[in-house]
Amino acid sequence: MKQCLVVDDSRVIRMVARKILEELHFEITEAEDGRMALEVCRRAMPDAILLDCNMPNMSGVEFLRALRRESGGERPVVVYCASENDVKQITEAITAGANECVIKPFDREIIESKFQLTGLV
Amino acid sequence: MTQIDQDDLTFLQALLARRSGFLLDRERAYLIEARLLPLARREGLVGVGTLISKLRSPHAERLERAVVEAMLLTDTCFFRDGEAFDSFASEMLPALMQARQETKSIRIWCAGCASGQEPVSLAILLAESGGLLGDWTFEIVATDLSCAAIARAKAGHFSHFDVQTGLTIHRHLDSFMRDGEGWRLDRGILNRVSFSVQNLLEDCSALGRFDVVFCRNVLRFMTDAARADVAQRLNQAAAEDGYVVLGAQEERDLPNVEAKSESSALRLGIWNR
Repeated sequence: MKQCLVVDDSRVIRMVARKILEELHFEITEAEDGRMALEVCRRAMPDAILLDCNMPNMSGVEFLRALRRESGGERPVVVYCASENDVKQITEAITAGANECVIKPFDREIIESKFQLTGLV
Repeated sequence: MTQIDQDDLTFLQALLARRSGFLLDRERAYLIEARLLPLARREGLVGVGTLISKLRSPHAERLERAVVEAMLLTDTCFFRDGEAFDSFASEMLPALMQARQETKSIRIWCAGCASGQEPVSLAILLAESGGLLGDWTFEIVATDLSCAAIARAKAGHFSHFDVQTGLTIHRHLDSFMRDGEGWRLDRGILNRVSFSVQNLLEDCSALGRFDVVFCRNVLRFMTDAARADVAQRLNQAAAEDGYVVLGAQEERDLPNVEAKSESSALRLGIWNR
C-alpha cells in the first residue's frame, strides 16, 4: 500500500483528504505544518504528499524546498494545494519541486484525477 | 422517487430511441426523476406524469426536443481515457502525416462531443506540437445532439472543477485564463475547433470525410438498432485508411458493422485492443 502524507493546518481538510485518499487505497499520515511534515519525512519518506500552501511555522513552498534538499527527498510525488486565484503561488510551487497542483476547493474527482496524472493511482 | 406507469415509461423509451437512439434501461431509470422533474417544473407542470401526458398531445415538438436534451448523458472530461490521446499522438498522427504528404491536411471528427472537452484536448495536443506540424492544416469538427452542450463548448468557458479533471497543471495554466468563477480557454485553441449540432441518427455526409473519427462512450448508451446504424455511419465517414476510435469495449458490441477495408477493420477501436 502506498503511503501519503497529508500536510494541512486545518483538521477538517486533513480529515476530508484522508477519506478521499483512503478510498484510493493510500495509507495516510498527517502533519499540521511544514516543520512537522519534514520530521515525518526524515523518519520515512512517503510515496506521495498532499501539501497545503499556507501553514504556520513553515509554508508549503518552504517545506518543498527543504524536502527536495533532503536525502531521498526527490522521491515523493508532491501534489500542492493552492488557494484560489493565485497563479503566481502555483508557479512558485512548481519551481520549488511540486509535481502537480490542485486549486481549492477540491473534491474527490479532482484529487483522483491529479493523482492519476502523476501515476500514483 | 417519481413513479410513472408502464405505459408512460414505454412511451418515453420509444421517444428517446426514435429521436436520439438513447437506451433508457432500468439502470438509467433514475434519470427520469433527476432530469425530467426539473424540466416539468420549468414548464409549470406538477410532475413527470403530467409532462409525459403533454408530450402525447399534438404539437409537442418543442417539448420533445427539451425532454431528449434533458435526458442526454453529457459526462466528459479533458483527456478522458488517456490511452486514446497517446495513441492519437504516437500512432495515428505519424501514420496519417506519412500518408497525407501531398495534401498536408488532416480532418478529425469528434462525434458526440458533449461540452467539448475531447476536441479541446485534441486542440491542446496539436497546439503543443505546433512547431513539429509546420505547414500542416488540421481541422477538428466537433458535434453533439445537445444544443446546450454545443453552446457551452462554443463559449470556451469551463468550471473550476472541469479544468482540474484530466488536465495537468501545466496544460491548465498554459491553455486557460481565470474568468470570474471559471476559466476561459485560450482563443487560439478554441478557434481550432468547429462546433455544431448534429444528430448521429441522421445523415452526416455533409460533414465530409475524416481521417480520424472519435466517438467514445456514445454507442454504449444506445439501443442495438441505433448502435449498428451509427457505427455504420461513423465507419462510412472515415477515410479508407482512417481511424475510428471508440470507447473502451465499445467495438466488441457492434452488431452488423462491416469495415470498408482490412485496414479500417483493424483500426476500429485500435487503442483499446
